Amino acid sequence: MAGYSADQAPTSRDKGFDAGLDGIHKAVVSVDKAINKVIPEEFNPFYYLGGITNLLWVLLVPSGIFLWFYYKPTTAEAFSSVDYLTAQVFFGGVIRGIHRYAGNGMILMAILHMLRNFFTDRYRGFRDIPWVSGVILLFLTGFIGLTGYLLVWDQRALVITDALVQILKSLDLVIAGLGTWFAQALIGGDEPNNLTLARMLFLHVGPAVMVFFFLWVHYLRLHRPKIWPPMFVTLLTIGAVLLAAGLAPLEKTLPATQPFVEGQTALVYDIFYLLPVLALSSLSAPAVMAILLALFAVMFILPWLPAKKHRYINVATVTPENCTGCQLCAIDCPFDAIIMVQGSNPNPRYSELAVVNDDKCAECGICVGACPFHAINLPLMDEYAIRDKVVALLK
Amino acid sequence: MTSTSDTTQPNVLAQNGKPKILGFLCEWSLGRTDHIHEDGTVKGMEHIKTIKIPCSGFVKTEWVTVAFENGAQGVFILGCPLGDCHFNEGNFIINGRLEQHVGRLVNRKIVDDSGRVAELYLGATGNNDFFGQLEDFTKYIEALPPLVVAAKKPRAAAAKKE
Ligand code: HEM
Ligand code: SF4
Ligand code: SF4
Repeated sequence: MAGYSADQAPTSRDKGFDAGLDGIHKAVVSVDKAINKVIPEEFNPFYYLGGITNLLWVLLVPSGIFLWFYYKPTTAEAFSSVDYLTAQVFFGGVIRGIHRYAGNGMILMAILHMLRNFFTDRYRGFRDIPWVSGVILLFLTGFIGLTGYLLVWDQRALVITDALVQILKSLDLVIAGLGTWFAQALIGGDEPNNLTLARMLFLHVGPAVMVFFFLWVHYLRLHRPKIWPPMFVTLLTIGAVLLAAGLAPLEKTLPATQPFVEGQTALVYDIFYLLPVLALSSLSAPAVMAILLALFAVMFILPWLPAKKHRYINVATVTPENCTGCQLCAIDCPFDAIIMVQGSNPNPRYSELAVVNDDKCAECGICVGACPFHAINLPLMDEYAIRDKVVALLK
Repeated sequence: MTSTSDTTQPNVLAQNGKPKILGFLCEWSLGRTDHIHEDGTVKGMEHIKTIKIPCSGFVKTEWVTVAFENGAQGVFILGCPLGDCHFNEGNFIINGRLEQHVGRLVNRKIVDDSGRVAELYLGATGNNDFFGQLEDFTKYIEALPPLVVAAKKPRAAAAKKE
């Protein structure tokens, strides 16, 4: 068995790109620690950005269902149904506000969550699946937001439709007809028509269902994902959304059906969802399309650019003769990498045997500390070698 | 073989006259900085030896016992701030395990003071905190009477033979 040696030990970051990220990592940790001085670390919201995003998503679903009860997906009635809901329905305006602000918050938190995971090197190696599913979630969130703004069918919605069609049509430059096909598929024809909003409602709710699927994939690799932030952070988040919804009613817009009024395009813009639309004022449609495609392409392959150098070299290894099937390692493993297999323990007195799933193992060694029977080990850092090193260092 | 010394009493002081201290450093915390010499000694603190490990949750509580049996006057574990473990739960897990283990060490009179085991949750920054906290820890240990753990009977699990 290989003895422990510091230079064999996987070092997470080495040179070049990694060294640059290291600086940012330290800065992020400094910010965290500054916050920890003010609020106890169990409540530091930065440790729960994923959970906050999840919570906002949970606020979005019921408020969306409420809006859906009143919404009429036709160009003639959409605006007036939203208007009626906002002005006439008991608390309708507030619930619409919750839906809007929770949506704003969700994309903001998802982006922060993504940046944080990137800067603290939680995006590659054994975290490739959470990362890639996260990128899909981000795309879905953005798309749902855009279609949501269209549903209101006010003059801003016209501007957005126009922008989306322009951006999509720029794909024609790559394959003739492709962009036009997409644009027609999006709005159900060449011009916004009676089908457009029914389609948009589907494109708003359909991807929302897909979010649930990808969230499942997102959490798949974690044994105990922090899906729910602690009570303090939960109340803070819900409180912030309610406060915004109560104190800052949504802006009044004009229906898309009346002649276009100058200035409606400059209405309050949500920079996160509507960034592509805003970008059109300074960039050409093909440029926006190219930037979006490049951005998502890079995000998709980021976990392998550069990949974690050390993987599959120090995966936890079980010594079956020692394993008693006590499950302690499987319970503590944060990545759900240990399965207890019935009936494979070589010792007739025991039934279950711990088996490590190489693909899930993060090589952290938490299971080694858990096992009272010396049955699980990191091959490059043998527990006996470390014990001997302890003795040697204290000589 | 474990080389738990059965005959000679371990020497409790390091060459610089300060109590011997052993540390386990999570490589995501300060393990990557250059505050540690190649051989694991902390720069400027010859009495503190360290071992680099992938995560604070890797520490087997048994190693803590072995350290005390071999003359360590204090043991510390360095990890990331609670809530920010690179492996999500490692520092919470070692925190819980040590709570139990140190209580047991005290009950069995292996150590006299639970403060001999320190957990530092510093993370990738706070290099000055690192030296400051180690200085405080050293002072705390110096104020305690020297700890000599009676030689133990051989440990239950012998080292693996190849
Ligand atoms: C859009 C909605 C999203 C939600 C609701 C969400 C939620 C979460 C939650 C609750 C966790 C578990 C956190 C933990 O246990 O520490 C998590 C982990 C993770 N998320 Fe997201 N996330 C979202 C988007 C993203 C995006 C856009 C990315 C990056 C592209 C991303 C990357 C990751 C990664 C890499 C992990 C694993 C972190 C770890 O193992 O500690 N997520 N996410
Ligand atoms: S080293 Fe052990 S605890 Fe860590 S991920 Fe692998 S199996 Fe799980
Ligand atoms: S903790 Fe050790 S003995 Fe228990 S199941 Fe895991 S490997 Fe087997």
